[in-house]
Amino acid sequence: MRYKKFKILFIMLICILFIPVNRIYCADVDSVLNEIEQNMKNVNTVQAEFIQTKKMAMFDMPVTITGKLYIENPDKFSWMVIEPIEYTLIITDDIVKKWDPSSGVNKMSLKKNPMFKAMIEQITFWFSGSYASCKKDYHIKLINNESIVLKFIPKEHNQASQMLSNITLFFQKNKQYISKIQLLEKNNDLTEILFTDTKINSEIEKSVWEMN
Amino acid sequence: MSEMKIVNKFDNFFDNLFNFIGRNKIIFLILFIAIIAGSFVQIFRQNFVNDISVMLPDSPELKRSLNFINSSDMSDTIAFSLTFKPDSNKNLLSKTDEFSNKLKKLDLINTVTTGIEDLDITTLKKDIATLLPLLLGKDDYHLFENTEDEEGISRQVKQMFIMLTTPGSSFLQTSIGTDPFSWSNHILNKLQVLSKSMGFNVELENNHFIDKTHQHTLVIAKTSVRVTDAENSEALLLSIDKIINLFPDLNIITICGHKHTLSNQKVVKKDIYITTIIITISFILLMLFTFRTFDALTIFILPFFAIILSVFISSFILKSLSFFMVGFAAVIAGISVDYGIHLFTAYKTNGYTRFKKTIKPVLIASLSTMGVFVSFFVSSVQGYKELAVFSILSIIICVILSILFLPHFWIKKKFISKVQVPSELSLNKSKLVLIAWGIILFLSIICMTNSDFLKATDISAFDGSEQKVFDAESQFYSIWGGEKKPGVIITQGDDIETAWKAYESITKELETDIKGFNSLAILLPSISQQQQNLNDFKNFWSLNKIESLKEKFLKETARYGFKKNVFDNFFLLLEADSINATAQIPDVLKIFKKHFVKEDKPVQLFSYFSDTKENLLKVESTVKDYPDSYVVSRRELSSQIGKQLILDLKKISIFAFCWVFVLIILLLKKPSHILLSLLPVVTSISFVFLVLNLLSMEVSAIILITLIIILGLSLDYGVFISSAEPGKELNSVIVATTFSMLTSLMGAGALLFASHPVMFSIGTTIVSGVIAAYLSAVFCIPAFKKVLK
Repeated sequence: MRYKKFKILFIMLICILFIPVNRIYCADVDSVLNEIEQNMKNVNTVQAEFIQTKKMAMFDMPVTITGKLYIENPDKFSWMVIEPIEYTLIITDDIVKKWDPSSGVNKMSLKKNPMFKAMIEQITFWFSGSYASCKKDYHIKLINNESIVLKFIPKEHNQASQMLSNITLFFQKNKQYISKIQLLEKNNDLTEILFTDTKINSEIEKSVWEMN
Repeated sequence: MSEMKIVNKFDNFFDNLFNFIGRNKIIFLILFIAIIAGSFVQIFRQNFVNDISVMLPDSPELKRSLNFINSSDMSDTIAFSLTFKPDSNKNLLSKTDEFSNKLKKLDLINTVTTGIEDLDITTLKKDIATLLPLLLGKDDYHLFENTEDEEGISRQVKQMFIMLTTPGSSFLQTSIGTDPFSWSNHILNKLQVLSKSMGFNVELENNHFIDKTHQHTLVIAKTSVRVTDAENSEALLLSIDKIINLFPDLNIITICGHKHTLSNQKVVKKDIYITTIIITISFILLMLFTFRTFDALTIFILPFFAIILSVFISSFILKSLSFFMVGFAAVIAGISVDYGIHLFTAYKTNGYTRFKKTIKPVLIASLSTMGVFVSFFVSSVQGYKELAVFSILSIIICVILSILFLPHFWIKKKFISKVQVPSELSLNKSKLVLIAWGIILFLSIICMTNSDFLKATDISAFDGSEQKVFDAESQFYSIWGGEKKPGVIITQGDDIETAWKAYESITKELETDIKGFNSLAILLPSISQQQQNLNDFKNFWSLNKIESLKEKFLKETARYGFKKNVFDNFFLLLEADSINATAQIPDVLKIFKKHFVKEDKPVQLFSYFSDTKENLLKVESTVKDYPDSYVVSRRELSSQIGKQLILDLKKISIFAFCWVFVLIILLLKKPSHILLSLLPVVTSISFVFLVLNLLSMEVSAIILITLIIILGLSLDYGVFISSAEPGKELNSVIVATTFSMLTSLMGAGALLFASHPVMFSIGTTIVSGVIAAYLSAVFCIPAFKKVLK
């Protein structure tokens, strides 16, 4: 009997403690999202080096590639891979240009290529910073408040939930940009992209967007 | 001698009948009032329709096209374009979902689509990959080129590695094991073409239809309410408006055929209301200021009663009564009041004797006018037939009552004052009149010969919707396109497999020749062709070939660290042992079915093409070889309607002219009388074209049909004036003709205040025609008589 009373009291205490904490926590996520969105709104250009490590069921071993990333808002994106093979992907407006030494330059329109369009939308969204707008499609958790870490778990109605378990974004201490992206898929494939030597709002050379 | 006897016998009979009605006029009056009251009740219970099809020729091809349009996506669709008002900044896609959920709750709405909800591109690519042996024909085998040499394989594996290491590529993994060479992309590209069959320029964002600026979303609702069903259209649009009002931060543009129906009805109702008031006031003023006697009221009220009675009788004869017919009521009132005026004027001038003498020209005039309306029965347009029934009944009732019933209520008091009649013009003035007439006639004939009669086939001239309806549509089309509806080829068959053979052949013939050609057969071969593709695929991918590719491919993939078993499904696919051609439309592609297949009896399969003249010619020449296929296009429909309308008008004109000639030859006999009575006819018809030219109005089918009515009206003037003896008789006839012209002008002139283009064009045609007919009859006929004397 005493145990039962104690149990009820304990649950009540937990509830009392939990409700405000939960409210504070929600408020924190919103304010963090707003803060990041505001910070990233001020970002016009990004240049960074990256190291991407993929642990995929398809491969015997983790695959690591390194290269450079360039972003110029609103519609320019360049992914230059240097190791282990050389290739470049440039998106300007609705045109995608691909280059690798053996195939040369390939151009395609996103409008005419639904597969590529879906892929590009995936890429550009996470670099855009407009995370508040995706609250409808993702549960967003603040994992770490000091050096901001946000976890995005796709909701059931979101088609991404069929493929993706979650995406975790690690932000720089000044909350100005992403320092690491971690992507966990349903089949336990894990992709991790680490950005180093990030330069914000430095001028990007025009040649970056050109392919010869 | 015998003719005299017949005339005397008829005179006696008429006198007896006239006197009998006169003795019992109160009983007849009570009976008349009772019938009018009963007619009123019937008219208020009558459901008038505003269906454009009653104005179109009745041909099986037209009916088939119209039935298709009425039962297809084109007619039961309500499209909404949504965007936020300037100060709002919320999630448009979630608002769109909210709006669509509200629409779904409406009873009159069947389905609501905001995008391609079931389209999961990852699953689609994977599923399409498993169908490749069925879908790829020999023409597609160029896709296999990369598999034939080591360099090609190496290049492809490298591309695969690149794709898999590009961010956002995770969904590629599901299909890469089955389709490492991305052959399914070839099919996916064809799917892009299929999505254009919707008719709007849409892009997809989170499975929602969005425009290219990403500022607007599109919602498409389907309703069970027919476009021609005005009552339910009103209920439907009212409930939609209520939902729209729940979203004050959204700008929502709605377009649908139902809006045209309601708007046309509103405009026509308003026009009828305005014209009725104008006619009533004008008739009363004419009565008070010209006849200056209250018994004249009877002749002005009579046409209204005649119209009420004819609507009442027509409701038993005709299946439905259209607003178009009611629109003509004012014109009919103007025509049928003429007989009463002529008889009343004669009666007042010289009593019963002159009244009796006037009966003959009244009968000739009414018979000639009725003859014109009888000619409408040779037309295949239901609306013209309705108009003929309604007009003939109105004229018969008016003539009978004017001759036998009304005179018993007229006071026998002379009222006609002296009127300066043109017969008193001098020879020189008569010559001047004829010169002026000659110049106007010459100009009118030039305008008539230069008129573009092909424009008369434009059915859009019947649409009198308010400007706001057209404005909303042009705003919508500027965002989404789709103003020009595609042409459709309908291929029928007892079942889908049977129909598909012709469908596939038509597609093969037109796919490359016609820009914007769209058919599900571009993607999906017939079952027999699928089986053939499977056999060809198996023959191509012999076990040796598969083994050779496997060896080279796995060697290359191993270099990049791929596991060996990742591509097992790909090699099983190449063997194609577990694949069979069973379903014409595989489950994965059923999302496109609703645009291309109607599983009715018979099954209908649709192909779409840009509805241009050039394409239509190509399509028609191909489709004629397929008896179970036909084309429906607005261009085709317009051309069919045009051909039929012109054919109809020719038939009506020939019949009307023959009737008029026979009648005037039989009744007028004298060649000079016959020729002079035709003078107002020629003048008025050609003068209408001069006026149309001056007002920059296009010739429409309505105008052409109204000209035939002008033919009857102007002949009346010609008959009365050419057969009157100069002096007192001509004076009386001209006075009567003047009143007759004034009443016709009031009836038709009131239509000049109408907003509906159909009613306005009727008004313009009749006013200009009647004025020309009157002036030529009153001035030119006496002038000709004077000059030729």
